[in-house]
Formats: sequence, C-alpha cells, structure tokens
Amino acid sequence: MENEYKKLFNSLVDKNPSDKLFEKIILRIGKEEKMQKVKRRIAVFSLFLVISFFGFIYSFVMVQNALISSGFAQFFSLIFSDYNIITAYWQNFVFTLLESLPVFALVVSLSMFSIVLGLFAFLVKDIKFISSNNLIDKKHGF
Amino acid sequence: MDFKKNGTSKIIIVFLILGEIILLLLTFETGVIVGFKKADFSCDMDKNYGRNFAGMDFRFPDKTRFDGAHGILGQIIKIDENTIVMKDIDLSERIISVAGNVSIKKFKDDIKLSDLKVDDKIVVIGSPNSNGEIEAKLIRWVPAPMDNRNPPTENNNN
Repeated sequence: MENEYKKLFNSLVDKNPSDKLFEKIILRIGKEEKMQKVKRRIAVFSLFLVISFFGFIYSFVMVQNALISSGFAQFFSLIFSDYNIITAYWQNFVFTLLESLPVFALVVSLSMFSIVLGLFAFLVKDIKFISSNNLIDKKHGF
Repeated sequence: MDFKKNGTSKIIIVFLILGEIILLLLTFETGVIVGFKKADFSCDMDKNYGRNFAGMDFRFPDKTRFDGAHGILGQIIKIDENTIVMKDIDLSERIISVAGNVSIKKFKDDIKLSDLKVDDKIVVIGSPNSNGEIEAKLIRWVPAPMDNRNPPTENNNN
C-alpha cells in the first residue's frame, strides 16, 4: 500500500506555475487598462465628432449664404459668361473676388472641417487598436 | 507618415515649414493689399460723398466695413449720361462711371447704357478712381431672382 502511494506521488507532474506568468498577468492588466481608456476616448470622440459634424454642416450653409450675399457667386459666374472680357481685366476681377470673399465664414467652416477630420482620424486609429487587440485575443484563446 | 525613418525627413520638414511660412506671408500681403485698396476707395468715397450726391435724398451710409473698390452687385437707382447710381448689397449708394470702353452685356447680347433701366440688377467690374467712383469695364445685367418676380395673377393671365 505504501509503495503504491509512493509510486502515485512520484508519477505526478510538478504543477508549479511558469516563471513568466506574473509578467503575463501584469501585461494583461496593463493592456486591459489601456483598452478601457481607449474605449472611453472613443465614446468622447464620437460625441464630439457628431457635434462638430453638425457644426460643420451649419458653417457650410453659412458659407453658402455668405458667398451669395457678398456677391462672390455672381462675380465668379462672370468667368463662365464673359470669359474674354474677364481675361482682359483679370486684375480688377481678381481684386473683386478677393474683396467679396467671405473670409470669416470660410475660416469658421474650414476650422470645423479640420476638427471633423482630426477627430475622425483619432477615432479610426482607436477603433483599429481595439479591433487588432480583439483579433490577438481570439488568436491566443483569451 | 513616419519621417524619422529616412534621412531626408528633416529636409522635408524644413521645406514644409518654409512653405507654410511663405504661404502665410503671401496671404498676409494679399490681405494688406486688398485692405489698403478698399480703405483708399472708401476714403475717396467719403471725401466726395457730398459732391457726388448733392441734392439727392440719401442718408450717409452707416458703414461697418469698407466697400469693394473693383466690383459691385446691386440695383440701379438712377442713370445719367455717363454715370449709374446704384444701391449695393449693403444698401449704400455707389457711383459707376460709364465713360470709355465699357462692355454692357445682357444674356449673350451687347447692349447700350440707354437699354438699362432703373431697378435693373447689375454686376459691375471696374477700377476705382480718385472721385470715389468705379470706372466700369464690364456691366452685366442680371435677371431678378424668381422670388422677386411678380407672380402671375388672374388679371395678368387674362
């Protein structure tokens, strides 16, 4: 009986955890924390993206109205209707366009557009980060 | 783009920065030139306002910005032999000098000054003179927008 017990305990494999387990757990915790941060950032960026997108649409309409009310659209259309005369007096024409350009509305609209593009780029980067991490997790069976 | 990977990255960054500085300076210079022209023209207009509109019942315009010196879009309020007085989109009156070589166009046709009527909408391209007037080079008649036209009534249809 005693010999059989000895045999049994001798044949058991040593189940000590590997030396790298602690490091793996710490890395995994760090990764999870980063994922949480990225997810929070995605939520905030999405909200700002929606707001800035509507802001951009509003500013775009503002530019359209400003182009019409300042006369820029009418002046610009002369290129198509009176091309020969416009080319003869191109300096006056260029000054007319510059003078009637709705600079403020354009600056607001372009700023909103750059904010939308910037937020979109950050959002895509974060979504890529999350999706790539999910793929790695699936591959390693987490 | 990871510019740090190759040796030319720093040169590209320097060129980009220089390009942006040049672009900024050009934009600034353009703004200065356009602003100066508008301010100069507005100053001439103000100096000659009494002379230009003597006897006419117009209030002095309450300006919040300078007038364009090279082009106007607006409505004719008076036509003289060589001048057109018009109301621009800021509702201030402007004088157009129609002396010399001026193209007056309506659709595809060349027309004369006498063909234009009070209340017609026109676009003018020209150059400013020292009297605060715009010497027209091109005058184009513009059709009134649809909402400004008189809708057909029963009397009109009959």
